[in-house]
Amino acid sequence: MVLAVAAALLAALDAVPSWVGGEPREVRRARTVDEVERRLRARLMLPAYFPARLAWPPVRIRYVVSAPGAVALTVAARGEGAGLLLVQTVRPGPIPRQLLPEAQELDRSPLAGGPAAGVLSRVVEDGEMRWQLAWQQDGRSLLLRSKGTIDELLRMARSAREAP
Amino acid sequence: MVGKWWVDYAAQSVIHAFVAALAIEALLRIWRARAPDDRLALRLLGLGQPLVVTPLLFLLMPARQGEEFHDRWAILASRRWEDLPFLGTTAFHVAVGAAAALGVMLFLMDLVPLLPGRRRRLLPAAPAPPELEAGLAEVAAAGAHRHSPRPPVLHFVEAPGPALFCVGVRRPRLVVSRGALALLDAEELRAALAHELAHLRARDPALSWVAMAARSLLFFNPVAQVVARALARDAEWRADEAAQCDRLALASALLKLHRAGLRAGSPWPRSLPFAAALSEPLRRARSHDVEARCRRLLEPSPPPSLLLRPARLALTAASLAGLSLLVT
Repeated sequence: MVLAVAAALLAALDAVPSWVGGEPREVRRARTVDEVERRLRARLMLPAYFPARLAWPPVRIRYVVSAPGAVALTVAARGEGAGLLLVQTVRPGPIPRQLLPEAQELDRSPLAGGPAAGVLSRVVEDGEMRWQLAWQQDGRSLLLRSKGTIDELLRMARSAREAP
Repeated sequence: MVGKWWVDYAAQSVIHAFVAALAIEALLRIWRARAPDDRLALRLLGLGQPLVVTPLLFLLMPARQGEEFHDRWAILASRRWEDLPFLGTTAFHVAVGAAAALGVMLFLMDLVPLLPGRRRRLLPAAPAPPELEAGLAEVAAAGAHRHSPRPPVLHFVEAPGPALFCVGVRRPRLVVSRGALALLDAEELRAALAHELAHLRARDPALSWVAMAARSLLFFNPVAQVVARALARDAEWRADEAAQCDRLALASALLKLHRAGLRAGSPWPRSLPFAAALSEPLRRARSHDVEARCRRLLEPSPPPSLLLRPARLALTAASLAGLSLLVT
C-alpha cells in the first residue's frame, strides 16, 4: 500500500506540467526546430517559400513522440496579421489530434495534381475563419492552417521539402 | 534523451532516494520497527536505491531515457518539468540545481571537519588512572564484549573537556579525557565504556568510513546525505542496545556529557563521520536526538525485531527497485 500511494503521488507530480501548461500529457514542447528534430530523430519538411510577413523561428513548437511522431510549429506574423500553423508527421500516419487546435470544418475541396495534392478546407477556430490545407508528401501527413490567402498556403505547400 | 546525461542521472538519483526514504519511513511506522538493527537494515535499503539501483538502471536500461519510455511506461518523467519555464530557465533545471546545491552543502558540512588540515590531532596519551583501566577491563570481560575481536587501546588524555569516543579502523582506540572521568560516576563510566565497546564490536568506525564513501559518491544528493546521517543515529541507538549495561546509567551519562558539552564545547572536532562518541552529540547531534535516545534507554526492555525480517527486506528492496524503474 505504501508503494501504491508513492506511485500515485509520483503520477500526480508527473501530471503537473501538463496541467499547468494546459497540454495533454503526451504533448511536449521544444525550444528550437533543431531540438525537436533531435528528439524525433527526423528532419522536418519546411517550406522553401516563406512569406516575409511571417516571422521565423516559430514562437511555439509542440510535438508528440508516440507513433507516428508529429510536430506542430506555430509561426507568428510580424506586426499585425495572421500567423500560421504547420503540423506534420515524421513517419507515415495521421496527424495526432492533440496537436491540432479544435476547429469546425465548414467545407472541403480536394486538390489534385502536383506535390501539394490534398484537401483544402475552410475551418472555424476560436470563432475565426481560417484556410486549412492538408496533404501527403513522401509518406508524411502535413497540414497548414492560416487566416492568410489560399495562394500563400499553396505556394508554401508546393515548396515544402526536407531541409538538407 | 536530449540534454546532459548527468543531469538526468542526478535528477533520478534524487527522486529515487526521496521516494525510497519516504517509503522506508512509512514502513518503519507501519511495521513499528523499533529494533535498531531493523531500522538500520531498512535505511540501508533506502540508501541503496540511489547508490546501486539508479546506476544499474542507467547502465543496463538506457532505453529508459527515451521519450517513448516516458510516454508509455514512466509513472514520473522528471524531464516533463522542462516544459515549465521558471526563473529564466525551466522548473526541471532549477529543481535539479537546487537539490544538487543542497546535497553538496550537506556533504561538505561533514567532510570539511575531516580534512587533514582541519582535523585536530589527539593530545598525546597520558598514563590512565587505575580505576579507568579497571573499569574498561571489567566491561571488556563482561558477557556482551567477551568475544570482541581484540581489546581496544585506551588513549587517556589530560584535558578538562568531556570526551569519550572511539577512533581507528586498523588500530581501534578508546579516547577518554580527564574531564569525562570527573563528570561521570563509576556506573555511568562503565555504561559509557560498554557503549563504546559495542561500537567497536560492530566495527562502526570502519562502517562510518564506508558510509562517508557512499556519501562522496552521492555528494549531489541531499536525500542520501540525510539518510546517511539517519544511519549514524541508528548506529548510536544500536550501540546503546548492544552495550547491555545499566540503561539508566547510560542515559544519565549521555545527558551529563551532552549538557557539559553544550556548556564547554567538545575539545576535539569529530574525527570520523560516524564516530561512536558519547561526546559527539555535544556538537553535532541535536538535543532532541539525545532526548529520544534517553527515552528509549529508560524503557524497560529492548524492542523486538521484525517478524520475517529477511522476507520483508527482500520485498521492500524489490518493490523499490521496481518503482525506480518507472521513475525517470
